[in-house]
Amino acid sequence: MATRKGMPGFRLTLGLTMVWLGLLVLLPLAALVLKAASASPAQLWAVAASPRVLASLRLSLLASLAAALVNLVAGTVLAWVLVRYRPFGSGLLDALVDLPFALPTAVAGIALTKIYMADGWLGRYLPFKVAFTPAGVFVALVFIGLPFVVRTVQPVLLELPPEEEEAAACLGASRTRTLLRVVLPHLRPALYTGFALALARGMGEYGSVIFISANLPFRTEIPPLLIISRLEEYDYLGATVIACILLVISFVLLFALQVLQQRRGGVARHV
Amino acid sequence: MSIHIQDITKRFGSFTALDQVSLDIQDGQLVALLGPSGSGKTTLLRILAGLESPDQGETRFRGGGAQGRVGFVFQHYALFKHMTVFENVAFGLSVRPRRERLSRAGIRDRVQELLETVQLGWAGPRMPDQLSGGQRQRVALARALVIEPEVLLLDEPFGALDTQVRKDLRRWLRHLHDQTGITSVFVTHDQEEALEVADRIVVLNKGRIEQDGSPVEVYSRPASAFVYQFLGQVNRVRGHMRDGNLEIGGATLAVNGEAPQEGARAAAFLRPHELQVGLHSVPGALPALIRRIHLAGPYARVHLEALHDATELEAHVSQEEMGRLQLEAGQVIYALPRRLDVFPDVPAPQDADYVI
Amino acid sequence: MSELRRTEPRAVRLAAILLSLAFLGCFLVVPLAAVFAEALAQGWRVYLAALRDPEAWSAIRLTLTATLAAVLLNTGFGLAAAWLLGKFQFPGRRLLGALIDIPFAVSPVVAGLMFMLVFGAQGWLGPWLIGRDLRVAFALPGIVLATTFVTFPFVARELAPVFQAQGGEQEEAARMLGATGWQTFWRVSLPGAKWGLAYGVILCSARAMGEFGAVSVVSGHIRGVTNTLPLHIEALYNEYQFAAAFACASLLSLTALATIGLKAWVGRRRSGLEPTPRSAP
Repeated sequence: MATRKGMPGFRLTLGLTMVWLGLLVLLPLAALVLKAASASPAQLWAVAASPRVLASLRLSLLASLAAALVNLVAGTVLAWVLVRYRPFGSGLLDALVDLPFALPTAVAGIALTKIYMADGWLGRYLPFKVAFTPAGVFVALVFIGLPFVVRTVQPVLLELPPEEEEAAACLGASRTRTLLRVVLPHLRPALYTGFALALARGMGEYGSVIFISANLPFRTEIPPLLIISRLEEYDYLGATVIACILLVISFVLLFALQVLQQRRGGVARHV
Repeated sequence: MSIHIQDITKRFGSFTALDQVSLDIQDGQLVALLGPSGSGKTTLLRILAGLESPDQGETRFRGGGAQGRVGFVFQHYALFKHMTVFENVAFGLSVRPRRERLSRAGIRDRVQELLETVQLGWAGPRMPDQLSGGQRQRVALARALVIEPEVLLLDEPFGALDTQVRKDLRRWLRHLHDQTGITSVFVTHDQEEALEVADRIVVLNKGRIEQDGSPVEVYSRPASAFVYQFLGQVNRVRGHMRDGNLEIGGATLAVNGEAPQEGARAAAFLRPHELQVGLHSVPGALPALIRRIHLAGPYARVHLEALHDATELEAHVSQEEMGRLQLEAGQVIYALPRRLDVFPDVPAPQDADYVI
Repeated sequence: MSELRRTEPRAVRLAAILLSLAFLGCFLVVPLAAVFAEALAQGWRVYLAALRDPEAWSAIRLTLTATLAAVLLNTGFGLAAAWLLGKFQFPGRRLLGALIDIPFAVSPVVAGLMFMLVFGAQGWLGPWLIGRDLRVAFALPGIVLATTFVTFPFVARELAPVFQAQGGEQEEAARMLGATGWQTFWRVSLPGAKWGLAYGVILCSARAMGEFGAVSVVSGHIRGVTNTLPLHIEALYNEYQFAAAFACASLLSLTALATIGLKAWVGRRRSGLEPTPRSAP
């Protein structure tokens, strides 16, 4: 009489998930990879090594790196201020951190451009040009990556046991010492995660960058833009090759992140 | 409804949780599955519930309706946190197919009736997190009982509660069972609980049944060293077998049970209240030093150290006797075992992992 | 005994707070303010005219439709995926989790390209679709697909940890009481996870509304037909119709502000009741 009364729905959810994953994610991904694979090595090289593509990759990598670094520092300070100091209005500030996530990238793009143009609200006070230069790209990527570090560090800070800092203080450690040797190790996995996420996001960003960069060939072009221009010329193969390069870079980044988290027992991103 | 369990085996990976377990539970009995962690008791209960399926063997339920409704009570209550107490208890009635379902009024009456039975008639509109642990467990019981189960299964129902609450609820569960007469099986690792509540105790160890009997049987006539040690306190003495008797420290004592072979070393058990303490030497008594005396409680607990081999013993002495004997720590007295039980499979006396 | 130094000195704290305010102000508040300032730079008349423009309306409708479709699809399948990941242990579970996260790793433009390669005129299904006179690329279905892809993981990632932390006991209890699988899911599991679900849906819709790169590739930029609101803004901007562009942008900014408000509110409701996943937005 005793029937199996376990958790319901395994087969149903497995089926649904596999179908959905297959159709929506794996199928298009396969199309991309197969298309790139259909190219001859010579064709691959022609695209990948073309000066324009290389220039865009270089810009993208450097700008993303720089932006992610800035966000690493600023984001950590911000998270610390929000969690530890709770100044007046920090609820509002905390919500505001989500703005780059919630705001459409195109809106961010045109707004940032207007501000940082030579006669813009901030541009006029700066001694160097920001809009239409790589610096503009950098600024856009800082905006985009802002929430990542903050949001990964905040939960860790919230759960940080105060006893450890108190113990260190009792043992005579200076505040700086305590921060560096007691608090920082706890934060490190979250910092890596936030940094990598911001970096990955920056490399793939399109909407917020193309307006402020003005897409000047060899100077301020980003890889996603090159993909689109190739598409407009019906060069599907070229677009695919560039896309695959981007894909490989982000997968490598996230894979490295997983490895780092495994080794340091960090917060798992995946369930 | 009676339950017949036949040769149940269950493995988790390389770990055997149950090994060919067979058991018969009569209609209306209150049975305790007693054992340490890993003994298989919870696994057996969950197989009865249908929450796990055995690798081999079967369970048969006899004498009930075709439904075979089983009520289950979890150790940590598993109340539906987002529903009120009323909705929790009503759940079993509200998920029935339309044809079988009671009317709203019918459900309301039944739920209220059950809440009154568990003395929580006022708690209907409350949320589970507003109740204490003992109250939550009573809600869980009401919830299980509302569907009029033919069998009630409880998984360490009082494990998560404070001692006093546990004691109260124990008594209360027994009373409830006497009123309703539902066949009930509960799992516990607390021997005191099993002895106090159950009609019958099934002692499990490492996936096997060590003994199956009434509380008196299991306590006074344990079938194995494990059961002896698991139920109640135990003294353990070491000696050699000589002519079917146990030779300890110069004394020769009669023993019960299947004796190990002649000349072999043996371990024998006795309960603390079976160790009689006296001021004078008598045949069979072991000289022992009083290490410590606990006077508070229904009887005095006298911790002794046998002089011949430094074995630690504990004797329970009535307060009256204490008054008469005027015992003190540091004194040497004579401890006479009133009864000794030996078991053939007791491991070598040097081991230190027995449980008092 | 002097008091132990358990927090940073006042000057440091003040500096940190000021720096944070400056950073946020510079990078967030100023751009936000600029949107509204520029939108109204030529007065209310121009602002309202831009919003009443039929092409703007069609863009708004398209954005809402695509967002709704993407959210519905991803909520349905996200629930299934979260249930699978949270309630069961099986070989390949971690891999499945990683696969579900793939859309996060893919640049939106690359995502759009992938769909073009499947559904475009030169794509795998291109000739088949043209034969049946079905349009996916440069039409609504394509836009929906691209948007759905990009927002795919949100609901699943928010819900799965909640389901997992629930454990299985409440479901077992429900089943013992006679509930069917569906009854258990709807009446016991889901209500216990409703804030996680709400959070995931909010994230999903915010991202869907703002999606630009993927849709840019797939839509064909046909004004009045396949331009979502972000694309419409781009078109206006490139034609130097700045006030109109920012007027439309202000609409999206208001939605963004509503989103972060909702997100904060749901987040607060959640933190007392359900476990929050440690994840990036």
